[in-house]
Amino acid sequence: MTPEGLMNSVLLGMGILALGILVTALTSEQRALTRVLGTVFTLVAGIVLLYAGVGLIVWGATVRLPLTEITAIKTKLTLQADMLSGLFLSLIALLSIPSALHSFAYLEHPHYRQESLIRYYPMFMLFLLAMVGVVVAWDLLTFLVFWEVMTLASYVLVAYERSKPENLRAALKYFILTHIGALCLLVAAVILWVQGGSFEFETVFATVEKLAKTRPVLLHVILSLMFIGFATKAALFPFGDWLPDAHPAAPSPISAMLSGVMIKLGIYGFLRFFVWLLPTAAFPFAYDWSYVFGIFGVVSAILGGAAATVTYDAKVLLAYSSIAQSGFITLGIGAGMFLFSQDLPLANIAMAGAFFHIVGDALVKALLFLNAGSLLYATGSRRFADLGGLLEAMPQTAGTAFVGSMAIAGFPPLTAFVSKWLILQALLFSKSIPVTFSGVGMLLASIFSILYSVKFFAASFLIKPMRSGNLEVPSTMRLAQFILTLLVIAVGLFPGAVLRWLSWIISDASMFAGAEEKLAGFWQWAWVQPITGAFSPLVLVGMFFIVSIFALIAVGTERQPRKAPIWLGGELVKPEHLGGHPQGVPLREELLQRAYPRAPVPRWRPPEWFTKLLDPEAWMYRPVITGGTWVSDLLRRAHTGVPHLYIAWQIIGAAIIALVVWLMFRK
Amino acid sequence: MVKWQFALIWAIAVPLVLLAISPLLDGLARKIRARLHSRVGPPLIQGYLDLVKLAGKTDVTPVANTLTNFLPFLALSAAVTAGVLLPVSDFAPFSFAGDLILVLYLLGLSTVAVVLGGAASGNPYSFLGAGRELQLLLFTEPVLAFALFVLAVKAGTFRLSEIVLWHAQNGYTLSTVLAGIAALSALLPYFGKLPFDLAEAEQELMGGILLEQAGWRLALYRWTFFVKWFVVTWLFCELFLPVIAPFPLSLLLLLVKIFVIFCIAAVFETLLARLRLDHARAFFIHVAFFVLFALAFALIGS
Repeated sequence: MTPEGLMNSVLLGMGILALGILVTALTSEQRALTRVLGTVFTLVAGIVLLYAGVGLIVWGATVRLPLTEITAIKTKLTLQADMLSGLFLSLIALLSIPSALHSFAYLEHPHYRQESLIRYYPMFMLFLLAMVGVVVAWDLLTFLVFWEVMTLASYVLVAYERSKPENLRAALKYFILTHIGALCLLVAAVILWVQGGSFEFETVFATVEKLAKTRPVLLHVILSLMFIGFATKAALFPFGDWLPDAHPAAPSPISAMLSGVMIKLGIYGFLRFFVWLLPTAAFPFAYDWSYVFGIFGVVSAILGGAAATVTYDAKVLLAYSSIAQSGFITLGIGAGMFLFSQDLPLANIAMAGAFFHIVGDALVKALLFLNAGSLLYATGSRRFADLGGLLEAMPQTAGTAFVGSMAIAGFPPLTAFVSKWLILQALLFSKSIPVTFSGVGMLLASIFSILYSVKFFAASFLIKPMRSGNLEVPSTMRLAQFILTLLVIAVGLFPGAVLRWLSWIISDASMFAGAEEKLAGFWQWAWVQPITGAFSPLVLVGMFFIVSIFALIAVGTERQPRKAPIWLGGELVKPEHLGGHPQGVPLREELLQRAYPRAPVPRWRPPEWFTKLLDPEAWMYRPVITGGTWVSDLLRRAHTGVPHLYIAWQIIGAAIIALVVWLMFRK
Repeated sequence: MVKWQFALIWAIAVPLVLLAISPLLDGLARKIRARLHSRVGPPLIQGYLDLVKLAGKTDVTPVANTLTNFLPFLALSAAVTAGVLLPVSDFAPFSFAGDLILVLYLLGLSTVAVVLGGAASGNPYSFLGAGRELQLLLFTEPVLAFALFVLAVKAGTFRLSEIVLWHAQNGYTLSTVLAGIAALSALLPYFGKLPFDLAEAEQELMGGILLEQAGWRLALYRWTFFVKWFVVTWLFCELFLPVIAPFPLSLLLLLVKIFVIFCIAAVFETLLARLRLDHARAFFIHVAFFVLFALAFALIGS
C-alpha cells in the first residue's frame, strides 16, 4: 500500500485483462461460461485499476517502469503514470465495471444472440487494456502502438452486429477516419524522432524546447498534426464525422465506453502534448493554439448540440451530445491555455471546469448510453417513434435516465452545472473580446443541451399514453445503471471534494502551477465551509426540501387520484393523435443537415462553399476512399501475373533510377 | 455563528413570503386587465381563492405515478430557491461567486419540470405545448442571460449582490441601458403570458402543458408560475433598477418596483395578441443581436 506499488497494480490489472482475453477466447463457444468469465475478469481488473488510478491522484505519485531498450532507434520503452494518467485510469476502471455488468444480460438479447462472443469479450478486454496502455505510455512508440490497438479493438466492437450493412459502413468509416488521425500522429512522431533522435517523452520535451527557439514553423506543423490526430479521436467538428455513425452502431455498453472514455482519450492527448509536455520556452505556442482550441470547441459544442436536438434516434442523439460535450471540454482547455500567462487563477478555474466536465460527462454519458441500451433491450428499437410511454413499464430505468438527463442538461445540484459555471466564469472575465464571445456561444450550446436532454427523457419515457406491463430490464443491467446514477449524484452533491483532487492534478502541470494560494478561497466549498458564500449543493437540496414541505402543508397530503382517459376535446382518439415524431427545433435545418446529414426540411440556403464545408463526409471521407481505391486499382492493374510485364517494369524502374543517379552525380 | 443562524432564518422566511405574496400578482394582473376591458373584475385575492379551490378538488388524471407526483414539487421548489438566492438591495446571505448562473439554471429547471409534467400526461395537446415551451426557452433564455452577462462583464463578477452594488454606484451606461431594454422584453415570455403564452394557448391547445393537470397538482403548477413572475421581476428590478438602501427600506422599495414593473407587464399582456412561434422566434433573434451589441459595447468600455 505504498505509491511505489501502484505500477504493480497497473501491471496486475493489465495482466488480468490479458489473461481474460485468452480465457474468454478459448471458452467462447460456451456462451454462459464466457459471459460469467468475461464479467468476472473485467470486474476484478476494473477494481485493481481503480485502486491504482485513485492512488496515483491521492498520493500525487509518479511511478515508472522501464520496459526495454531498442538501440536501433535509440529509444527506451517506458511505462510511467502520473496524476493525469491516474485520472483517466480511474475513469476507464470506473466505467468498465458497469459496462461489463450491463453487457452480461445485454448480449442475450435476440439482436445479439447469433453473434459469436469471441468478437465481444476478448475484444472488449483488449480495448480496455489498450486504453490503460495509452494513458501509462511514456514514449511515443508505446503510445502509438496502444493507440492503434485501441482503435482496432473498438473497430471490431463497432462492427459487432455485422448482419446489418449500415453497421459495417459505420465501422469502416470509423476505421478510415481514425486512421487518418493516427497517420497524422505517426508523422508528428517521426518528425520529432528525426529532430530529437528518440521517441522518449523526455527527449520530446527537450526537442520541443529546441524547436521552439530555432524552428517555430516546424513546431507549429508538429502541433497541427497532433491536433488533427487527437481531434479526430475527441470527435471535434469536422474531424468527428465518424462518431454519429459509429456510436449508435456499437452495442450499448461499448457505446458507453466509447463515449465515456475513448473520446476522452483524445482530450488526454490534448492535455498531455499541449499542456503537460510543453517546456516553458514553448508556452507562447500553447497561447497561439488556444485560439484553435477555442474555435473548434465552440463550433463543436453548438453544432453537436443543435444536431442532437433535431435527431429522431436515442443513440444518435447521445452521440451528437458527445460531440457537444467534447467541444465544451476543449473550450475549457483552450481558455486555460489562453489565460495562463495573464491571469493564472482564472486559467486554473477554466481547467478545473474542463476536468470536472471530463469526469461528469464520462459518468453521465455512460449512464445515458446504458439507458438507451436498456430501451433497445426492452422495445427492440432506439427510434423515438417506437419509444415513449415507458415510464410505468420500466420505472427503475426511467428513474436513472431522469437523473442522467437532468445532469447532462446542467441542472443543479448535479454534475454539469459546476463545470459549465467554471468555464463560463473563465470565459466571461477573461478581459478579451473574442474569448468573452466564445462564452456567448457556450451559453447557447448549454441551452441546446437542456433541450436535447429533455427531449431524450421525454421522448423515451413520456409523451405517449403509458404502456402497461412490465418491460423492466434484468437485474445486472439495472445494477449497472444504479452504480452510475449513484456516482453522478455523489459527484454532483460533493463537487468540492472532486474539485480539490482535480486542482491537484492541474497544478501538477508546470503551465498551471503556482496559483494554489490565490485559489484556496475559491475551492473552499460545499461541506467544508459555512453554508453561506459558497455553492453548496447540499444546501440547495435542503432548500428544495423546505419549500416542498411548505407546499405539502398547503395542498394537503390526501392523494386519491381518479383515473380518467386522456382528454382530446371531444374528438375520437385516433392513432395519429398519440405520439408521432417528437418535434425538432425549427432551426436552420439545412445547415444542420449538411453538418450531419440526417435532418429534413430545407429552408434557408447558405452559400454553396459553406454548406460544402459543413459536410466533412463529402470533402474529407469520400476523397480518401476514392483516392485509396484508385491507388489500389492502379496497383492491381500493374500486377497482372504476366512475366514480361514485370520485366518491363523492372527495366523502366532501373532506367528511372539510373536517370536520377545520373542527374544527382553529373558535374 | 450569527451569520449561520441568520442564513437559516432567511432560507425559511423568504420561501414563506414568496409563497404568500406571489398569488397576489395574479389578482393584480386580472384586475388591471378587467379595468382595461371596463369590467369590474375579480377581487385582488382571486389567486389565493383559486389555489384553495384547486387544492380541495379531486385529482383527475390519466397518469399518476411517482414522477408526476414529484415534478410539481420540483418546479415550485426550483422557482422559490431562485428567489432565496436573489439580493435585496446588495444584501444576499446565500450569494456566492456564481449565483447568477445558478439562478438562470434554477428558473430553467422550473420550466423544464412543468414541461415534463405536461409531457408525462400523454396528451398530444400537452405534448405540443411542451415542445413550444422548450423552443421558446431556446430563444428567451439566451436573451435574459446575455443581458445579465453585460452587467456581469461590467461589474467583473457573477455575484448578484456585487453587481447590484456596482450598478448602483456607477450608474447607467449605454450598454446597461440596452441590456435593460432587452431583459425587459425577455420578462414577458418568462411570465408565460400574452403575447408569449404559446405553451398554454387556451384557444388552440386548450391549456397545453396544463391540460391534463388537475387538483393539487394544477394548484402547485399555478403557484409555480406566480412565484416565477415574482422572482423574474425581482431579478430585473434589483439588477437593472438598483437602489442601495438600508434593510427595511430596501425591501419596501423592492416591493414598489416589482409592483410597478408587473403592472406595466400586465398592461402589455392585455394590449397584445398572441404571437405565433415563428414570430416570437424572429422577435427574439433580433433582440439577441441587440443584446450582443450591448455586450460588445460593454467590452469596449461604454
